Amino acid sequence: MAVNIQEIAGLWANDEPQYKQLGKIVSDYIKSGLPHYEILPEISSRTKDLLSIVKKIKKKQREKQYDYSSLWDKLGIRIICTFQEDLDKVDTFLKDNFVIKKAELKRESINFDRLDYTSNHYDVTINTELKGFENYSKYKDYGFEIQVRTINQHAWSNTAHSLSYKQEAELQHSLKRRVYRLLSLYEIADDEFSHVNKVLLDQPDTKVYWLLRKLEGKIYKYAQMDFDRDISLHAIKILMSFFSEENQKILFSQIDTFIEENESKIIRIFSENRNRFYEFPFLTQPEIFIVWFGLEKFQFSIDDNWNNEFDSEELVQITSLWGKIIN
Amino acid sequence: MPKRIRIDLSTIVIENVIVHDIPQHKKLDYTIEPSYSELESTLSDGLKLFFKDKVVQALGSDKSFKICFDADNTSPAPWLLQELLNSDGKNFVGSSKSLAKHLYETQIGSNTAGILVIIFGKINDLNTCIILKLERDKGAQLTLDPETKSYNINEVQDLMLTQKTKIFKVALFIFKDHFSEKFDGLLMDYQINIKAKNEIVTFFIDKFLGCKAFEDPKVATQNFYKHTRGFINTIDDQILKVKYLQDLNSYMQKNSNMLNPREFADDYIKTPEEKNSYKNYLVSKKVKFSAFPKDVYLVENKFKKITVSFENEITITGNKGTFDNKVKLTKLRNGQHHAEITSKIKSIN
Repeated sequence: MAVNIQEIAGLWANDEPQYKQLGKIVSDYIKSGLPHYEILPEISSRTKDLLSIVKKIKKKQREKQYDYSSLWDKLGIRIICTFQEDLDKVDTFLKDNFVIKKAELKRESINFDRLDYTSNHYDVTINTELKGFENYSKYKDYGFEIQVRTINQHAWSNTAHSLSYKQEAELQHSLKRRVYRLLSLYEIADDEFSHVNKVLLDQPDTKVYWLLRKLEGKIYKYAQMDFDRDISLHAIKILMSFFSEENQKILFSQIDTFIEENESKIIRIFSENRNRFYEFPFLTQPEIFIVWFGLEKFQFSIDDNWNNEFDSEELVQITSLWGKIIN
Repeated sequence: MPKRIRIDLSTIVIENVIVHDIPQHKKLDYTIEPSYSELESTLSDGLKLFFKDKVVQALGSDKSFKICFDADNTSPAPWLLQELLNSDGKNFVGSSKSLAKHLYETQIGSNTAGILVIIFGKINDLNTCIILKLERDKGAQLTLDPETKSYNINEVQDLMLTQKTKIFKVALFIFKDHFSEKFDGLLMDYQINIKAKNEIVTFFIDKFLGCKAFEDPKVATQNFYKHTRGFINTIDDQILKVKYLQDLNSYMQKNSNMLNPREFADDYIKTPEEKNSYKNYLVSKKVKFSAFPKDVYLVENKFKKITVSFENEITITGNKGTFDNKVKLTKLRNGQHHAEITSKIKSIN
């Protein structure tokens, strides 16, 4: 079948601005939604250029019935996660928030001897019944693709793309073997990072790191932004020294429940002060939860030691943000 | 009965603000009139949060305490405030002017001129009214002259609140039935905690607001004393126990009209861990860890003397404040204690 380039060009001239707008809407939606799952992946969107559209249609038409409307990745959203386990959280998020027409979880579907290590792909449309999409019913039939991958999958994919490895059949045996070897390293790296992450999260004896990993997701969730790790590591280490061994154990075992029980209050504090985060930099750092926990449970451990290490004015601000329950 | 709502100061939302200027005047001399605002002030969201921060800092302090309207007081403030709270702030401007007029009439020459700020808003999503008395201030402001690249210093008049200043008098009122509470509000007055109890230091709560401390000072003082002693009795170290008991007795006899468990902890208890335990102990006994007016009537005879009894049937009794200096207690390795008194025997009974 011949490809009518003029027709495609006309259609795309009309559709591209719409897809660009949709890309922004969807990216913003995902950016504000995923932190609730306590992850903060990189999110980007792009619309395909006309040349790529034409080439892809031509290529696909060699294999099957395929036209402009069959193309789902005219708009592509890419979500890049730090750890493999984040992919499951994104999977849940996408299933809860989009109409999934097709989902391809690549790692599960690839044979053990197949040369590939690519992302999860979802062909989706927006769910206009959900808050955030309810005013965009004009886009309800606009299909697009969401790719979800780890940083290593992303690195592999980009490198592989440059090497055009996908023409697997045309590679020499020796080169193919070298690519396999590289590929396995990426996969091993993902597995190892995941393993180390899980071990650290399960071992409270690495207290500072353990707390930081435990609380960073909360900052993603409530402040919806990244934080400064060096500041946190330094501050958490100092804060730990304020607490006795016994109180540290209480902190480790109760900090989750504390945050959960005070969630509506925490959400209100972050939302009320979002426009003045710059005035309270500590509010966007994970250690804020330790200070609030300390003020509630071991007030004097914080009050009596604070001025030796931190600015006294900051404690006044942190305390007033948290308020006080009048019993 | 509706569920009791935990009043959380972090939930304060400022909705309406009005400011009235109250001049200083001599008693019964009303020739200099207050300057009343006829309209609410316009505040940006940022300034509303700034005022909220200040109010929370003051009322969240351990020196704030619960108050209730005093049925025997003739101040119109309780009625005006309850009307405001019940009517969702209807006639906010009129009521605020009446409050300002009453403050003006209440003040005497020894009260400084001030700015009365009245705020209507929400706490826990329910109506609240907040009253602040501020004082005018002036300051120096830096401005950079781009031509000379040097700083000029200008005088700034009519400063009412800055990042660094504290609010000295603030009261927050709720409609208590909405919260299933028995008190009407909270008060923070830095100037009330001084030695002399006279008109200058009590006019704000008493004459102006028509309020009194919610808890009966006699009972609150008794509870504080009883449960602080209870905490001291949980301490294993006998010498520390004697020290803290003497400290408590000294604290009870301090020349102040307020008591504050937080102050006691800060002044006398040694480590943050012990202070945490003390706080937890009092809270478990339902004793508030914040200031309250002192009245030692029910406990006065208890802290005049301190008695240490030994297992060998010997007892040492000392008068207030003398034990520490005159009896030297040390712990021996075998767990026993050594008491040393150097004095002349006065009498033997």
